[in-house]
Formats: sequence, structure tokens, C-alpha cells
Amino acid sequence: MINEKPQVFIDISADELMTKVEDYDARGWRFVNICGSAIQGGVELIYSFSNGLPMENLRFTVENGSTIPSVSGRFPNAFFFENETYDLFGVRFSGISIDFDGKFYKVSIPTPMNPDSVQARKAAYDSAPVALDVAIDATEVPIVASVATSSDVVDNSAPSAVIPAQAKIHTHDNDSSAPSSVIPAQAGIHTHDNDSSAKGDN
Amino acid sequence: MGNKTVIPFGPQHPVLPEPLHLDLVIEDEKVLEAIPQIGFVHRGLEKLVSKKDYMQFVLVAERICGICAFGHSLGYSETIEALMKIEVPKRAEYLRVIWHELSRIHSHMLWLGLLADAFGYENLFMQCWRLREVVLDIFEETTGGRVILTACNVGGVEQDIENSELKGIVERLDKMIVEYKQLLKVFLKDRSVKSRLVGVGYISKEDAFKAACVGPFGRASGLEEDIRMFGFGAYGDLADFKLITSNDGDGYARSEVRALEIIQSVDIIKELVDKIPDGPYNQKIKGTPEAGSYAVSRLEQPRGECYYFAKGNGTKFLERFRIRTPTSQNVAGMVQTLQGCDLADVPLNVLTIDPCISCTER
Amino acid sequence: MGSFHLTKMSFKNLVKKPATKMYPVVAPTYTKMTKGHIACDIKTCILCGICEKRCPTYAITVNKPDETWTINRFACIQCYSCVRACPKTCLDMKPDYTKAATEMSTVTIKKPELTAEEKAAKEAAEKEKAERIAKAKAAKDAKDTKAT
Repeated sequence: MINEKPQVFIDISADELMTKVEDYDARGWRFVNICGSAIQGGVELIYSFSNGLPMENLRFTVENGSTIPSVSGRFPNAFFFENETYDLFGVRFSGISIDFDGKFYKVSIPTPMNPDSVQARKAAYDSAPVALDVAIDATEVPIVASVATSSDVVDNSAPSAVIPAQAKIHTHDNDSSAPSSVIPAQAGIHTHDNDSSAKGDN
Repeated sequence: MGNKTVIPFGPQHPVLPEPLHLDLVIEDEKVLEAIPQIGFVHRGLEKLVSKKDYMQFVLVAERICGICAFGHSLGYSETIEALMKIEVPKRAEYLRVIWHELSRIHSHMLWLGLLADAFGYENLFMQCWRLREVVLDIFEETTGGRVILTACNVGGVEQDIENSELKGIVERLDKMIVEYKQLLKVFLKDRSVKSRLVGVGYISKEDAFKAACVGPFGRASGLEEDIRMFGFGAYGDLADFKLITSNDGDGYARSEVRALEIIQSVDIIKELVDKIPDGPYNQKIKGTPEAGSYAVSRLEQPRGECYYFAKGNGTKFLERFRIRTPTSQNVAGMVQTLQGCDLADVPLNVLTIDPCISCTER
Repeated sequence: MGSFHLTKMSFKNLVKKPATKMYPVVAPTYTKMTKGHIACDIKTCILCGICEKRCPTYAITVNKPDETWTINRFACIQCYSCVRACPKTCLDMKPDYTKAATEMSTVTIKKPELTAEEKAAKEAAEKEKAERIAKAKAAKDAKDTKAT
């Protein structure tokens, strides 16, 4: 009778992530979870992979305001966790297959589980009537500009369009603050071609 | 070459069991693409670990979801026991598994009823839920609550079940199974039910593996993964454990897997009741998790594999607790089954993954 | 035949009485373990306040100077923590549920005044305890002076 569950934690650096992920994919392991946890000045991320009974967890830290590459090209179910991590912790992922751009969970304050993140501090700075003592680094990319860059990426590299040009969109207003805003108008959707039915041939 | 329209589906829809929003791109009644969206019941429960200490958080973990309530309290307790290296008494492990298997029976019965309601067979829906009341009465007599049990805590279980009472439970379950087998015939052999389920929402084994589907949804496509077969806890004392899989990968196969798992759960309960040892069922827990300690744990809930992660920081409040529910993995698979299906089959496809959105976005 | 599998069950259900109950005309049946509401035996309560500290939803308030014990039944989640924590076991979980109401309200129980015999018994016990302490102290003083 087994009572000990395997607890394997491997510490890596953020640059080694993609090579390790490709290695797990080549060996046929399954992607389980991304978990974030706020630490001083950044976020500690844990990626978990499993293959039956053995399960291995990669552990590394990223700083506030950094961007790491997405693994949803290799593991399609990762888009859920990457959107959630961005909403709750402020860690930006580049190239998610379905990118909700911060509106996945519709939280009322930005990045509630990481109060030190770039977005949270910017929101506090914008809404404060008096200038705060906290200095915001001038090299951090504000959120508005990053939406534009992600849509540029969509036009250049996505193999199939989001919504075909002749689509009629029913009763959606493209206001970014509306709670029921339509996802296609704002998100960059990279459909990695596993299905050709979405091509707008008509 | 018809026009393409985008139809919003949900979050409030009479046939949808959970608040999920889909944007369906359809052309002449065939769905081309589906874009899911969630976030309607996010309550921020993971942040409550900073307010409730690790013994009290079991109550919060239980109330994340109504159907998988006991499963989450069990998973949380097992994770904290792995974090603090606590040994659980044997009788407590057996009782936990008995309650967990009863929870699986009640969840699958609920799902079978909802499936029958989705394709219009309301009589079958009512009969399934009438048989489910047998299990809910057992819960009320042994723990005091019908859905929220408050039976599991860190280190053991809250109350004991006498051995004579356990035998009475097994007899009642046997009587229920005799009636249930008539309903099983309807689900598996009735012509009108089959015409709605066979061939609907097909996903192949390779696609299911790529999208990392878990639970009965994955097992219906041929993936052989079940945490119960690894033998943690009292599952290791079972004589053998056969996976129920199917190779068809459509809606009919998923219903078949879930409907047969109910019978398997009753057999597991009978075997454990025969083998249950005597002894303590609880223990006093002292101390707090160490600083910088990490623990992970997995559990087979009725919907699939659920993953728990805990991190301690030396105080009685945990630093971080994370639950990853099976529905969040199956959403990618659901989106794939929706491509190319008819508009009338969309609610059935959404139902066959057994969505539980309230645990997915705590 | 691929249809009509439920005929036997349907005919049985036609002649049996219904599985549902006409609540609230018919009273519901509870088991002895059903978690309904909390009852407090105020006579044995020592107003220590442990139940107030353990309650996860802050439903219980204990006021020691006023000698009252208050519970907000609509905030109670029937988790059984207070019953387990009480050192005098004066709290108990009764099976019937709190009825629905149109306004939130709390229930306050005040400790009753002691009757004449109880007051006399309490004074006698205190006097006996003071005598015992004085006797022990006198015996200890005598031993100390003998030792020196």
C-alpha cells in the first residue's frame, strides 16, 4: 500500500523552461498545472508534468513585469492556466493560443494575489488623487501598448483568421469595460492548425 | 457558402448546468468554432488561506463546489498531511474512501439525470434523482449533512460509523442497484436515447491525449488513467481494480463509462466494509507547516484527476494553496468536440464533459 | 425491442404512494445526527468565549459582564466547531432547521439569576474553600517555624 505520494521538485532557471518543456513533450508526458505564488519582488511559478504515477514539478521565479513564452503550442490545455496566472499574478505570456488579455476572470482589482505587480501598482497610481511615493520604473511596458503588440503578432503569424470577414456579430459592444464583451474583438487568437474548418475560405 | 453568424450561448440557458459562456461561430446549423469564456462565479477562495488557519480552511475547501464537496475536503486534508508528514490511522482512511465512493455514486447519478433531461427524457431524470436520494439519506445519517458533509479533517475523520451501520448501508445500496440496473438498460439500449448519443461529439484517442483529457471523458476515448489504480490510501487494499474504458470516444461511450462506474463503486464499498479494521479514527494535530515546505497531491474525483498544491511559511496560515480541477483540463477537449457538430447537439457536448464551473474558478 | 424499458417501473410508480412529501404540511423527518441549529445550556456555561474564537463566521458573541450568549442563526454554517471546542459541553446541535424569515435577527440567552438555595450553596462552598486554604496555610507556617 502506497502512502507516500511522489514529491519531486526540480529548481530550474527561467531560460531553461522551453528546453525542459520540449523534452517532456517528446517523452510523451502530460501537462498538469501552472501554479503561481507571490514572493518578494516577483512570482514563483511551478509547472507540473506527469506520466502515470511519477510527477515532476519545475520551480523557478520571474520578476514583476517580465514576459515568458507560452507552452500552449505544445500543450493546448495550458491556455487556461496561463490566462489565469496573468489575471491573478500579472505574469505576461507571449503567444497563448486563446488570449483573453486580462479579462479571463473579470477581477475587480488588477492582480489581486500579487499586490506588487506592475499592473496593480499602475492602477493604484492612476486612481490615487495624490502622487504616491512608490516609483514606477520607466522601462516597464504599460498595458495599453502591449495589447497593440499582441495584435500585430496575430496578423503576422497566425495561420487562420479569428472571425471570417463576413461574420455578423450579434449585439456585442466592443467596449473593453463591459463585462460581457466579446472575446474575438479584443483577443488575439492563434489557432494552431489542428483543424482546418476554421479557415475563412468563403 | 452560407453566412457565418456568431451566437452567444450561456451563461444562463435552461439546459446548461453551469454558468459557462460560449461564442459559437455557426454556418447553416453547423458549428465551426467555439470560444469558451468563464469567470462568472469567481469568488477568490484561494486568497482566504491568509485569513483562515490551516485547520479551519477545510470548511472553506468543502464549500467550493456542491457536488464534489467531500472530494475537495479530502484532497485538502491529504495535501496538508503530506506537507506536515502526518500519518493517518487506517480506519480513518477506509472511512474516507467509503464516503468518497458514495460521493462518486451521487455525482454520477446527478449527471445521468441531467443528461436525460438534456435530451428531453424527463421521466428518466426524475427516476435517477429518486434513486440518488438513497445515497443522500445515507450521508445524512452518518454525517448530518446531505451535500456538505463536514466529515473530513486534517489527521482523520470527524465521526465514526459503527460496523453494524456499515452493513445496513451495504444492504440499502444493494437494493438500490437492483432498481438502478433497469435504468441502466434504458441508457444503454433504448433506441431513442442511442440516436441522440451515438456518434455525437467524437474525439479520437490521440486528440484526447494531446488535449490532456482526464476522468471519464478521457477514459471513454481509450486513455487509461485513473489515480485510483495507483493504490494510495485504502485503495491499495483492494483485491484488484479494473479500469472502465471504451474505445468509441463519443457521447454514448462517456455515458456508458459513468453509468458502469456506479456499479463499480458499490462493489468497492462492499469490499472495504468487509475489510475495515478497528482502531482510532482521529488524532490531535500540533504544530504548523514548516517554512519553505511544498507538497503536491492528486485525487480521482468523479470528474477526473484533481491536483492540489500547498506551500507553507512557518505560521498557522498557509502561504499558497492551489486546486486544479478536472474541468479546466477538459475545456480544451470540449472545444475540440464542438467543432463540426450540429447546433442542437451543443448542450449535449457541453454536458458530456460533466462541467463543474464553480470548482474551476474558485 | 429498443424501447419501452421503463414500463415495469412506471406501473409500479402508478400504484405506490409518491416519493415526495408535502412539506410544510407534513413535518420533515430528521435523523439524530442532522446538523440543524445550535442550542446552549446557559446554566452550565461559564462564558469563557472559546466558542466565539473558534466560530469561522463570527456568528457567536459572548458578553461576560452582561452574562449573555448571542448567536446569529443566519450566519451559522453548522460546522460543529463550537460544540467540539466547548470545555463544559454545554453546546449541542439539534436536528431541526432554522425557519426562513424576512428579517435577519439574533437570539440572545441571558444567564438566569441564581435562586436562594443556589446562592446559599455557592456561599457555603466559597466559605469552605476559604477555610481549607487558611488551614493549609497555617499548617505550612507551623512546619516552617519548626524547621528553623
